[in-house]
Amino acid sequence: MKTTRYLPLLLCFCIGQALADTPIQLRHDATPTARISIGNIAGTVSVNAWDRNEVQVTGRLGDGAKPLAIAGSNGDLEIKVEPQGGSGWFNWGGDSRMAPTTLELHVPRAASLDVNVVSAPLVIDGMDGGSIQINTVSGKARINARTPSLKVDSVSGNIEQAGHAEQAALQTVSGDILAPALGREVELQTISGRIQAHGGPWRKLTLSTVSGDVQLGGALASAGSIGIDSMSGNVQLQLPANTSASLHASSFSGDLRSDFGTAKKPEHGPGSSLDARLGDGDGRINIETFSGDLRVRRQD
Amino acid sequence: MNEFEWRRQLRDLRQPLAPRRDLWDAIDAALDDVERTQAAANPVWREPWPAPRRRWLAAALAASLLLAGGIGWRVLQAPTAAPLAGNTTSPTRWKPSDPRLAGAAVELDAAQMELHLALQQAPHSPALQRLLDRTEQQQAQLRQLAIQAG
Repeated sequence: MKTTRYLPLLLCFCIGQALADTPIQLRHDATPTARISIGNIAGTVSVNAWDRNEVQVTGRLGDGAKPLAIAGSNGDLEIKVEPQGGSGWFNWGGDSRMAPTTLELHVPRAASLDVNVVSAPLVIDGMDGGSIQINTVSGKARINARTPSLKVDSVSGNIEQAGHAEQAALQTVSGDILAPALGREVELQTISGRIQAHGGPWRKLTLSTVSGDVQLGGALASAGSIGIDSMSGNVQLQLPANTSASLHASSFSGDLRSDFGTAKKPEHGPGSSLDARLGDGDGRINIETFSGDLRVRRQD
Repeated sequence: MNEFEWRRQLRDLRQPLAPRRDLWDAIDAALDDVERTQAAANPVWREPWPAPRRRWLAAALAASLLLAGGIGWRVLQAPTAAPLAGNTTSPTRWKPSDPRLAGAAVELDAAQMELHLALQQAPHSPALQRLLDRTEQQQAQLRQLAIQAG
């Protein structure tokens, strides 16, 4: 009985929602390696690769947004959700005048992507061959792609990577970084986020964390280098038994333990350091923590 | 679960915990009981403050004086400590109006302060200096974002 009473109200609400959000149905021809820029402030963005030379955009445009269009040429396309009366991408802080927009894109598999989101979670799936660049504030970014270059800047959103990124530069303030498939050149940086990363063989890997914990595992390329800086974050590095490198590790006041060599402790005061030669000593591994604990483990 | 997970969980436990019920009523009642007992034992002359309360008051006064003295001392020491700390209280500290950036700004400020303090203890650490440089770069990027946010 009560349900019947509220049915008209529910109907009005549903009709209102349907009118508020506008369905999106857009398409545009694209070259196989087109560069595609995507922007959305709130809502969601999902980018899926397909084997067609065209871009398709579906989803729902939030109330208060400008009519959406695919701009540019076949080789350089732009899809950006902007508020009505707004000045482009600027003033996204005033996004309260625009309802969230859902963007679902299908793009050529080898296209390059440049995605800017604010709080919209982002999913990229199946891309192969093009570079990917992402800027996000609080939205989580999940990328499953084989890419020569992956660059992600995030404030508090987590970064999850899969596939393979030959070059990767992943940075957060407080978001976690989960990157199990990193290629030869890697740069990881966080203030307080947690980093779990694997891959290699690394020609060059640099990692810095202020207070976030780190778990890193992978092989070093011949004459490659690994550099890890941590203030209070705990660091665990797992290396294959056949690693060839000179290893230097030190901690001002943290606990240092290693399966390679023996850590030296000063007679008085805290801290410890370790210098060891692994195999032929081709590469370089340098790890320094201030108060974070450090473990260097041999991978069997 | 590895050792770091345990440590993280232990750190998470290190939070201030409020009592489930208000303890002050029971303490107050107990103090009143002492007061009544003393009044019954000595009905003619009654001290303005019972002994336990006097002790509390004295302790509170001493603690306040210590705190005030400590703050005063820190304020007096601040100008000489600042160069060592390397600009820990940066005049460029700002708070973005967008709540999605405000938390990160606080976090970056705190990280910078901690790094400066760590550098006081290990002034020749290149790793700490690199971390500080990167933290400042991230703060500069966040400022750019704040400008875009409007």
